[in-house]
Amino acid sequence: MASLRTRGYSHYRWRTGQIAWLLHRLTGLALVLYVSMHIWVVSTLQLGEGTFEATMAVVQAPLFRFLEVGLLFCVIYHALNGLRLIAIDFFGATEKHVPLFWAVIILGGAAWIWGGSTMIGHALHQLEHGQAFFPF
Amino acid sequence: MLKMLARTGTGSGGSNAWVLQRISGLLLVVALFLHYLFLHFLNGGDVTWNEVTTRLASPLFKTIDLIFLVSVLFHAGQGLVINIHDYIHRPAPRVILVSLAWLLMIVLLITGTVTIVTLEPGFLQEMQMGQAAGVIDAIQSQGVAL
Repeated sequence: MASLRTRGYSHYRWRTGQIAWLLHRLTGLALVLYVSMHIWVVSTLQLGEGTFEATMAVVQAPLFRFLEVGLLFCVIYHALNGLRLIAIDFFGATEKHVPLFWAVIILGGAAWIWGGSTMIGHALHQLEHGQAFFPF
Repeated sequence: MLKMLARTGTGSGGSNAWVLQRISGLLLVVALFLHYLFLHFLNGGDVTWNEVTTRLASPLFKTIDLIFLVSVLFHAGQGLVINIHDYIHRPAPRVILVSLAWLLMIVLLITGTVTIVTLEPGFLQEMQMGQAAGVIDAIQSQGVAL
């Protein structure tokens, strides 16, 4: 902990608001990385049907279905916590920020389990039909 | 700008960025919900060339996707800038990194806009070969006035 203290990270106790802030920041950075790759992948539409379908075959392989479960977590958390921030900043919900965080976790968690299980189901279905896990 | 929002402070650069980050974020929640609905629920989960090109032939979807693209890149660039300002304190590296962040967003904006506005096959190949004239012809052949 000494190194953390000297770097200034333990000036605050790790409580709800700081965890919410850190998760928002980390998921946001992950989403910037994803959206950059996403725009690049979708731009292969310009190269015609063959190239686009070949690219989509790679990014819709089971490996990426599993990675997309992580992406879904980032999207759901960042979106719901973003709504929480708007409630805090514009609608005077500052004193309710802790229950709002738990609402984000419970609603987001439910949506993540629902969406994520569908995606994993899709990946397992592909694997059962003999598709390789790695598209490379 | 946006001074009607009493809690936005002085209305100088920082507070404009702050309130615009919330407005673009709200827009993205709505747009991303529709994006998931159309691309991952209503079509059974697989994205195909036919489906995407059919949808993108509609001016309505082109407009929606362009608004979506601009908001996501504004929001992403602004998010990167906030991170750079928080951790990079020396002026020169800060200016360089902020410039690189916005340069990335501009490149993505051009790539995304080209993809949405015209689906002429071979368009990017021509651009990669540096045939600017061919690119302009391709845009004009799509009926876009330059």
